[in-house]
Amino acid sequence: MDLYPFFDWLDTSMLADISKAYGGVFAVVQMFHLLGMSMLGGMVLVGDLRLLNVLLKDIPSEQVIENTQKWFTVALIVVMTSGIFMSSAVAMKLYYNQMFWAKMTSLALGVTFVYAIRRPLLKFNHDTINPWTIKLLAVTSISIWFTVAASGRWIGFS
Amino acid sequence: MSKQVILEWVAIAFSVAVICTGIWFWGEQIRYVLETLALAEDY
Repeated sequence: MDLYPFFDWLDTSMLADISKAYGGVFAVVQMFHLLGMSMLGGMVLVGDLRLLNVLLKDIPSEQVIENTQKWFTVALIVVMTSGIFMSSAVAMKLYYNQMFWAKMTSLALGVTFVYAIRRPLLKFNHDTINPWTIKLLAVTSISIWFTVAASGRWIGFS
Repeated sequence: MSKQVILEWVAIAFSVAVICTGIWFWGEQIRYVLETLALAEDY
């Protein structure tokens, strides 16, 4: 699927006009993007480190997962919305950037993993799930979101 | 098979695939960086 027409449209859209013309607006939106990423990373780490029995061991893992999931979803919406705005400013540059596609692929994998596998599975009583499966889920989750963050940062250096 | 068992198997398969892909991807990035550093030293 060729996404060039979409990126070409985005690069000349009204959103791009605003993001390119007003540096202050871009900066504020980027601030929300960074805050969103912090919250997303925080919720991922708290949830997954609990599943790995590293922290909050005195709190049932079901409770930790339920509470972190809510704010994970809020953070994901903030990150994606602000990300689209920021992308519009440099759409064609991003289209040709390998690390951007690595980030988008891992983001898609991460979202699929969370909503199609991790969340449905962790709705069951955690005592009935194989402990090694839970640990594998946690390690996979940390790996995916680390890749999203690292490749996102790498965009700026490639 | 119950939904939970199916989800567990899907989770394991997905996780193994993702971790293998991640190791390959980051291995490629590290190899690229090391190659670039080697070129810089030669220069």
